[in-house]
Amino acid sequence: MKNEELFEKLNKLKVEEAIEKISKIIDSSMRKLDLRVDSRWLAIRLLEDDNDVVEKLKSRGLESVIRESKRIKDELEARFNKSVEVLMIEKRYHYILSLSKKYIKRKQARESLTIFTNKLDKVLTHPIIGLMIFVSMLYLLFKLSFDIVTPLTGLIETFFSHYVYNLFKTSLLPEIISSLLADAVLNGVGIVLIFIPNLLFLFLGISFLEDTGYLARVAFLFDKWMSKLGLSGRAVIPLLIGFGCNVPATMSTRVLGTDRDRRLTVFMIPFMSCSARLPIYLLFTLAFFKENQIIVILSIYFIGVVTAIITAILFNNLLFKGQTVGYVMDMPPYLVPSAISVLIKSWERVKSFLIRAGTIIVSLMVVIWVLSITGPEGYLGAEALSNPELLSRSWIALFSKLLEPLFKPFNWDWRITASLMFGFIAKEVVVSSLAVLYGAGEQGLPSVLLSSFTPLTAYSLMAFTVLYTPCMATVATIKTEIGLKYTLLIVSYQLIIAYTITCVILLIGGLIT
Amino acid sequence: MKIMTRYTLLLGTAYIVSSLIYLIESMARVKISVPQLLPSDVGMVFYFMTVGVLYNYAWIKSREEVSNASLFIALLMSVAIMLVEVVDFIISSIDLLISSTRAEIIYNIMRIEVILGILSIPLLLKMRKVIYE
Repeated sequence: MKNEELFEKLNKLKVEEAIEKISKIIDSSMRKLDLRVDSRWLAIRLLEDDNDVVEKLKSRGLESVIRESKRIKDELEARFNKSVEVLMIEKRYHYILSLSKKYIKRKQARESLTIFTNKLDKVLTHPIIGLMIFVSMLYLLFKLSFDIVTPLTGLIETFFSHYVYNLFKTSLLPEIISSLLADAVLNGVGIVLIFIPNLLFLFLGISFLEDTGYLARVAFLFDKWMSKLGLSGRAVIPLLIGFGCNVPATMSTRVLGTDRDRRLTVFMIPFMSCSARLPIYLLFTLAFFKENQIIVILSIYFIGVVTAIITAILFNNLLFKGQTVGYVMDMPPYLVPSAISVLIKSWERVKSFLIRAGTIIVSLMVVIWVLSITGPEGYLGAEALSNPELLSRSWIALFSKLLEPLFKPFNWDWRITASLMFGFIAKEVVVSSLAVLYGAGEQGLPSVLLSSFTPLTAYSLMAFTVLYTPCMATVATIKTEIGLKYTLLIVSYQLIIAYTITCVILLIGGLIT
Repeated sequence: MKIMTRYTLLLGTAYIVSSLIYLIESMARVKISVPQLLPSDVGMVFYFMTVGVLYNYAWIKSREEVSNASLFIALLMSVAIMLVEVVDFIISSIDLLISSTRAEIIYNIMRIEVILGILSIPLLLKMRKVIYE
């Protein structure tokens, strides 16, 4: 046996002996005080000079235990000429190494594989082909998480909005209770669950790409451009996911290394127009811009992207000034991901959304429900949710009417304001709310809107929709991801920006037309 | 090796040609060929183009080191799109079972991404050998 190994063994034995001795002293003292503590743990803490433990023992009058452990510690240090902390660390590492030697079998990375990794990098980080591959990968990711899951989300929606909804509605419970359960709680739960298939597939894809080592290459590919916004290349992934849905986009900022990067990216995400806002653009472009529908819709997306870039530059210089840290890029070798690791990672992310954002969404749904079925006259009845006349007497309508003067310069009446408020629940609701409030079916809505809007006011409303507060699922996710303070800041900033840009559009549009 | 290179060129060209036919079709608003032999949307066209470019890049660079890497990525992407289409097919079968139309099932099986993906598998296995041995 080598000297080093012999010394290690001796060290291990002596440290163990010291722990044993102190444990025995602790045990006998504790028995007197009738206290139940893990004496071995306490002995280790004493050997490592844990101030908290020392103070607690002192407060219980156990100075003798402290004195004795100090003596054993000094003895140990004198013997090995090392501090006990170092001895303990050595002991721990020795234990970990012995375990890993026993249970972990490493495959030696072959040289040919390393060379192949370098060759792959030449293609994947190629300025043109690399970019093409990335866009294609993103397309596949979108296809997986938005197209493929459509039947699944459809099933969940049908299950909740038809079967369970009707079950509550036709139950013998009092009307207010059945409406609370069906219209508020169930709708809230539905909104949460409807995201699950999207989130699960998206996170499976992201975790897979992350574990293969591809995301590090994406970061490298975009680093040059994103660094101009004060972000690392990795931030491009959540931003692009935002075009599908802002909720998974916000959650996918977890792949970013620093809090600063995460916050700055989360500030940009709500400006990426999610797919739920598309029906609003389609409705208005169908009514007002039939000839140039695609160009108008693209211009709305463009407004969102430009605002996101301005936001990043603004907050990078104001809120996060001087916090830019040098980004050291680690290029891990390509690996075949472990299915279990990918599944666990994805499930953990989905679970976090379910628990944290879910509770906030359901509570907010209940609040909005109460404000919709009650008004200054008192309880209006659950039918207020589908009756425009009753709804116009609710608190929601009252708040919308209070806000009406603010939107007077835009020529928007209270029904538009109310629809935008409902849009806070989910952007999909805006069109159906407009249909209810204007007393028209969704099919007849474009013709009704033609008489209430001009092309300019319609365009300004679309611009406002892309810029104002995202849905509550996104807001709840932002809150859980970066905290309440920043969430409030984002929400107020978005409202101000949306209002200002809408004013500018109307002003410029008014000058042109 | 010669066969492998020819095969690569053939697959890459198939991807690019089908993308171009789709683009011409949608721009000219005419139907040129059997619809299921084309990519299903504009996003898929881009994907096809990328895969096609990668196959051709591998063929052009067949005397250089990056050829294998490029081919490997193209193969993985072909198989990935095939798998996505298959998963899509299985999931949407929930709908299909309700509306039950044999034609739609055949249509999905006949899709070009699935055919090209299957054609890529032997090449992928061959590549695996090249990398690991």
